Amino acid sequence: MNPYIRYVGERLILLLATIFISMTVVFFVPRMVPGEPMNAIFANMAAVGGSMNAQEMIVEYRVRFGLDRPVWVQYVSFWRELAQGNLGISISNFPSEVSGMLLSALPWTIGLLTVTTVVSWVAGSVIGAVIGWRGRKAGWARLMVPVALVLYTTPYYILALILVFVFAFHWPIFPLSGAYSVGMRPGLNTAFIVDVLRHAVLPALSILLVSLGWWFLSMRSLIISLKGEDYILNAEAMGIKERRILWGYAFRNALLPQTTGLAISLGHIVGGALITEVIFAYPGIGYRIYNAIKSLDYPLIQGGVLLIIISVALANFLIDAAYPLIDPRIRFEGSGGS
Amino acid sequence: MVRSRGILLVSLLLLVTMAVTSACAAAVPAGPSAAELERAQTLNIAVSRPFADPTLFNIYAPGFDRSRTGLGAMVHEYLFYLNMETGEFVPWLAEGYEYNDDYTEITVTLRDGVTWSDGEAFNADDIVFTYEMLRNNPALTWANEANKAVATVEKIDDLTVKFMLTEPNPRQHLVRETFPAVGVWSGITIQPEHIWRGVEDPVTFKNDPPIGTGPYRLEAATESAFSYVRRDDWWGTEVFGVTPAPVRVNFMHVGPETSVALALSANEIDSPAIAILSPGAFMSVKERNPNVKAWTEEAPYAWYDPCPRALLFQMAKPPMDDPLVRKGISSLIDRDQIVALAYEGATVVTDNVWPEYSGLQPYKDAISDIIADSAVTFNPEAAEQYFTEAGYAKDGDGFWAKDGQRLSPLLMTNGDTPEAMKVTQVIVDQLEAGGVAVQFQPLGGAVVDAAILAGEYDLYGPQAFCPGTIYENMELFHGKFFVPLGEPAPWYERNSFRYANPDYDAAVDAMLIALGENADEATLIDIFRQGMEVWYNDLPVAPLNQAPALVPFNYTYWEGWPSAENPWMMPVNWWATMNLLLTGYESTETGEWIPGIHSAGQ
Repeated sequence: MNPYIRYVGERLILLLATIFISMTVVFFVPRMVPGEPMNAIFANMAAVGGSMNAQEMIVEYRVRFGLDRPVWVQYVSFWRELAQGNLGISISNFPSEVSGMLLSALPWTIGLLTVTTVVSWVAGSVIGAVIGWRGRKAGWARLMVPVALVLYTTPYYILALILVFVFAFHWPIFPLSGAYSVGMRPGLNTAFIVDVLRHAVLPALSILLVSLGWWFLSMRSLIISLKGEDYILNAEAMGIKERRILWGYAFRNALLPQTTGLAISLGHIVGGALITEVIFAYPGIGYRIYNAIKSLDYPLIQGGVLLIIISVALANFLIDAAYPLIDPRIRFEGSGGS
Repeated sequence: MVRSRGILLVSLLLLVTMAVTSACAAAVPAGPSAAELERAQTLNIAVSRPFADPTLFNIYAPGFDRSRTGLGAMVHEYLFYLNMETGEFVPWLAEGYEYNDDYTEITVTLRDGVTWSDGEAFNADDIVFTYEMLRNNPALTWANEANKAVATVEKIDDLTVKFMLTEPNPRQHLVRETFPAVGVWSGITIQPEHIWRGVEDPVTFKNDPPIGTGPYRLEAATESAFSYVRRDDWWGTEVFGVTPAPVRVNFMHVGPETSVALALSANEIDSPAIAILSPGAFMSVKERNPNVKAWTEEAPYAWYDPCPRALLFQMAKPPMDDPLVRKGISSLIDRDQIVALAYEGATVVTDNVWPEYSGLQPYKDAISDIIADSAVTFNPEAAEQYFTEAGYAKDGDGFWAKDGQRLSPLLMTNGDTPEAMKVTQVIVDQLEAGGVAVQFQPLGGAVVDAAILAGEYDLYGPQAFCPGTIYENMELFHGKFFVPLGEPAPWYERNSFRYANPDYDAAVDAMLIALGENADEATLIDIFRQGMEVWYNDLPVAPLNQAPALVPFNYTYWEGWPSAENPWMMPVNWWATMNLLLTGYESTETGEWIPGIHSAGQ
């Protein structure tokens, strides 16, 4: 068998095993937390004067959610429903469907975070490589180092609040919050798209500035450490153009760990950016999952975590599959080191 | 050098691109005059959280967000409204009600001319159907309460219905969980029979679009906002001759406290919901935008919510089963300090569990001597006496101990609530300073309800005591709500502290009978006093402070808001009574129409 196909096949099996084991853990762990999940329903009712402990209601809701059955039956049923694409009904937001709640939030999270993650990765890596390579010769562009350090170490919410205060309040260039204006109907028209873009600028900028600092600093360090390698010195001795040594030799080698970092970041995207969602009142999946965990909303926790697990595992799988193409050494080791 | 400039250019490329894009984007929105005009006709309410499911409009579904969406006030209406500020019981979809002699039936006369938003007439069939639906679907919110209190509802004619109660209750018309009249959040909400009759499962029904009789219809709902637009065909315009001023009303989530403060300063919102702005944030807004005003011009600024706060004692187990220990703990609590530190001065202390409403003052005045002799004020010397009398002595470290065991109560609180965390941290410090080795345990999420109801605390607080009327708050301490330790109590303030004293119960029962007999106030006060003599002697909870509702109003676009100077209505935008803030109502005392809010400058 082609060693690459075999290598990818092994990783695929690992992917499926990861998803299966993780979902099993996610199924059982919330059920071991003390507390009655149906309380979310009755707390909602009791807050407006309804019943908290009417036994017949508790029984009815436990039946509706299948919690009256043994745990293993629930477990089998969970996989059966999942196979049919059914994530169940949220307990704390009964009778809202989990899939609907997650899918309505997902595009905003993916849209905002994918763009900011990729842009900050590309920009951070490129600028980091150039400034790392140029060293002292980079002149006053080296100011990027302390700037990046400050950005990277600034607590995210502080930076976000500063942006809101400066660009939404003091100079009201951008809206304070939300993904689009209240009353505007979503649709593929210029007005709506422009409105969405305007609303996305501050949340995007806040994420971009913070994550760019990290990509910049890590790439710069990698390039600096690579500069002393023999093959770089050799290339310089051979009179190869500096630009080619940077991009063809140093940058390409430094790209591997950066790519791993990117893959992990992309995988985590569907976990949402909780603080962004809170400060900018931006719709997204992070707040959903946070609330689900707080209220022991089993189906919503399972649905949310399933998304995260699949995306993280998938991102890892893709990067595993791509490694041998970037670095042939991995393919050989993966196929038995022939 | 050329290269370093190039590097800088690359490094700034993104930011420049973004700035250019932003500038272009910023230039695109509609003309300022049109936007300004629209804003001037719109009422924007800021809510505390995003909306979990903007496709769910079924007010009976457990997961429906009743207090933030505004649906209960904008789209739905009720037979009567209770204005707690003035004490008026305002007829709305109904014209009046009458009990039979033994208070087992209420006959309600409905208002002629009321229509649903789809044009169908609102009549007795809708009421009969709603109660049938609750009986057939016990999983609906309030179904359990309604079915316990109301046996059947009978149609006499199109505009007359008779409620047959399961037991005599002269207060039935005030119980929103079982009767369609509200003073606070939503309660039994009459639904259109012609829509709901065909619904297979009302528990999972989404009710999209929601049909109601209210002056607004839902125009759009997203995770960030529920938007309503005024109905030109609202029945009230013809029957009452009024039209609410705002053309649009938005209940919107703009972010955390800081964002709400900025939005209020920038006139983007007209009023936030309760518990969003702290006094400090409010003062900062007030400085930036003088059009933003609260209930009072000076401190404490807040209106008092009808639910005063108290610290619960778990009386079903030691050490809090001893009234002397309870009194000792209560005497160590410096309520003024709580108000100053936890509430930043935005409320006042309380020595009882009733709100500071003028109608309740005669009752409070009548027990002032009992309160004066009780243990509800800060008094460390008295605390020492109580603990000593209870058999405690201070150990080498200065902590109270008995039989070699320190007095070390478990103080639980709801860690999800900033107010609770601030208040309990002050209390923990005060109790420790007084020699009580408190174990502090904040809980959150789904865990806290179960623990509190099972009575797993020694102390819990701060707990709200609602709804704040004399009888209803007395009843919260009735032994009929007592359940053994470990079993879930009906609710936090509904005796999760497990108080049972037959002498007190007798006073509560006597109060209900007296209310049924329309006894005069002197008789009611006398019974109240009897109950309070027992209550203060037992001290089942330690009253702490009045509940501040710091709800500023922005006078830039809208005027006529209620205030301490003109307290015509409760300044509340999160209850089902909020529509009266917009429409106004006919005073039951003078017969005049008290107008709702109006555009600024008109």
